[in-house]
Amino acid sequence: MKNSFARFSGLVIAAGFAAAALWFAPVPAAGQAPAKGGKGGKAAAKGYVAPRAGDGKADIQGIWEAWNTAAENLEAHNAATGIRAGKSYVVDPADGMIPYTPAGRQKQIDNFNRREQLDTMNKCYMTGVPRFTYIHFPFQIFQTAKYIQMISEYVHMVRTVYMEKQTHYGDLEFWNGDSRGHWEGDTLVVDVADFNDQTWFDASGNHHSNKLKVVERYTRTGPDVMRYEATMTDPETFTRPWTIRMDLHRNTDQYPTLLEYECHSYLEDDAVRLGSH
Amino acid sequence: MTRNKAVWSSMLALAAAAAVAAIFVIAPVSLTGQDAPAKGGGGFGGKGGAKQVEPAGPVPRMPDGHPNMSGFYNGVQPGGVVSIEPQPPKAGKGGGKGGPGGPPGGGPPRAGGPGGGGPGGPGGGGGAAKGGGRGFGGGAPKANAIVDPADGKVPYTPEARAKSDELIAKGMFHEPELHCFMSSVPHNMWVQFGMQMMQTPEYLVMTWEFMHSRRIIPLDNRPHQLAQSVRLFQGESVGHWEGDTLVVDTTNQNDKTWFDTSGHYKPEDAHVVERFTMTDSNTIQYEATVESKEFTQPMKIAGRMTRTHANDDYEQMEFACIEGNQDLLHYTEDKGGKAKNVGARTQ
Repeated sequence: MKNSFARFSGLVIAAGFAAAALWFAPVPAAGQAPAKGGKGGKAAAKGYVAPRAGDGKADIQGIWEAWNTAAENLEAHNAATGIRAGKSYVVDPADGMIPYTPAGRQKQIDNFNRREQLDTMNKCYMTGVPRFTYIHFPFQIFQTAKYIQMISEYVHMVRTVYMEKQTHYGDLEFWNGDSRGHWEGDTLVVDVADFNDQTWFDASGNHHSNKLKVVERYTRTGPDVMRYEATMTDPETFTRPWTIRMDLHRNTDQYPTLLEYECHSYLEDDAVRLGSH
Repeated sequence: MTRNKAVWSSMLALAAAAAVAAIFVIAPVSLTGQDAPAKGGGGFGGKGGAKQVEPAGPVPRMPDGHPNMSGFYNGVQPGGVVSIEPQPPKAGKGGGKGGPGGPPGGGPPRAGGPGGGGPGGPGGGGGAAKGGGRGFGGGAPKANAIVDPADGKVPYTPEARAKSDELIAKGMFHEPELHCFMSSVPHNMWVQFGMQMMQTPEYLVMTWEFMHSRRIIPLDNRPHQLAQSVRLFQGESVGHWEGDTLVVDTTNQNDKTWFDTSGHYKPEDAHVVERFTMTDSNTIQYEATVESKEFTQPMKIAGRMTRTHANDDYEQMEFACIEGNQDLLHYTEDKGGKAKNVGARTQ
């Protein structure tokens, strides 16, 4: 009697989880053409050539921000509390789904179901890469021949892209990885490695191991728009590399200014205001 | 475990944790006025070649002719890693022999202090002498970071001084670095472990390994943009050139930061004007004037920054503060924290 009741409850609970998983599962974008323009960002205006910066290369400086739902979930998804519905920003594979191993996909579902506790951005931690690029905060790029600095308004994160020495450390783990860059024509290519496994790609629990490697490509396609691509490789989590693509938009104020979002300071203020101090 | 044993274990654990935490959060720790190490400057972190700097040469220039300050530098010396005010020398064994003072330029070189060691302070234009060894238990006074007023103290009004004294005695829980806050202006200029300047035609960007702090200074003589109600940790800085001197005007700072890590708080209305003058390829002369209604007069700080690496392959490391911060839990109520005081601890 006890055993069958336990088994029955187990079935009910499992059905509940399965139902939840189905509801929140990423929605495959059937029949999407790989983006040349369209889903993955505007095609370059014919003949657009970016002006040159002080280092003689295409000038990618300025304050940039993504105007999309990649920060919520890189895959196509339904809305949920605090999460807008969105299309997929994964352009490869063509179905727009992150090519997880079965265990990787299960972990993403678990992450999503406990995202309030597990998303380290909720504790004001650094975001990792490429989440750094498309969270809903601007970041500013400064470029010289030897270093390109990317500074986020969110928790004053600083990414230094080293343009000379191209080798990674290999024996260290960083929240935002170690970035090594070079130019391919007017495209800045950034090779990022030396990650820890603590960050997510978005607010929906898409995750990686410390074996992650990311290759980013930044290409100006117009006066105030930049195409951004990133290819992720992580044999412990994914069955193959996968690529996202989106546009970034420039702040066109007369005097663009990066402000501050000192997240941890506000958590402290909230604790006082809400009486949990 | 008996109750007494439990109490002692907890105290030991707290003390050990605090000691370990102190090493990581504010090193060096003592209040005998030790500056951040002047040599190297890589300090705690940094990886890459320990190539010495080239001998000083002419000021490097941008294509538009302005000085190019790009590179790695130590913090402003003298500074206020621990305290911006002079600390009274402690009685103790004498310090090591101080180095020779630099050739006098304008003002007279300061005599070495008691304890047998001490820097011959910078004469007007002469080089600063290498400081003498600290000596065991003794503390030789260093040159003052604050040059006006002449006593080297923050010119607080009596009310402001009382507030600072209270913070020092009972408010160390509010020490900004404990909370992983950026150090603000001008304090960031003398935090430990050195800093990197990266200069483009439009911006001077300063980055610190410590706390991954950053300052972004536009060089286009733009006016201040922010309304008075908007307050930032690093404030809003705008820059313009006066000949070879970069003048940086900073307003809109908030009330959460200090001039040092001791408790000399920075008034929220502080208006800071800094002057960066590169005098040779390895040296930037630094001045900061701070005005506030909580001061009896403007405060002037003067020092210099020295290039620390030949630039070739030195790299700052990531500094993840919030991600591993256990320190907040260890501060006890008598210092403004939340942990219960354990046992009969006296100050």
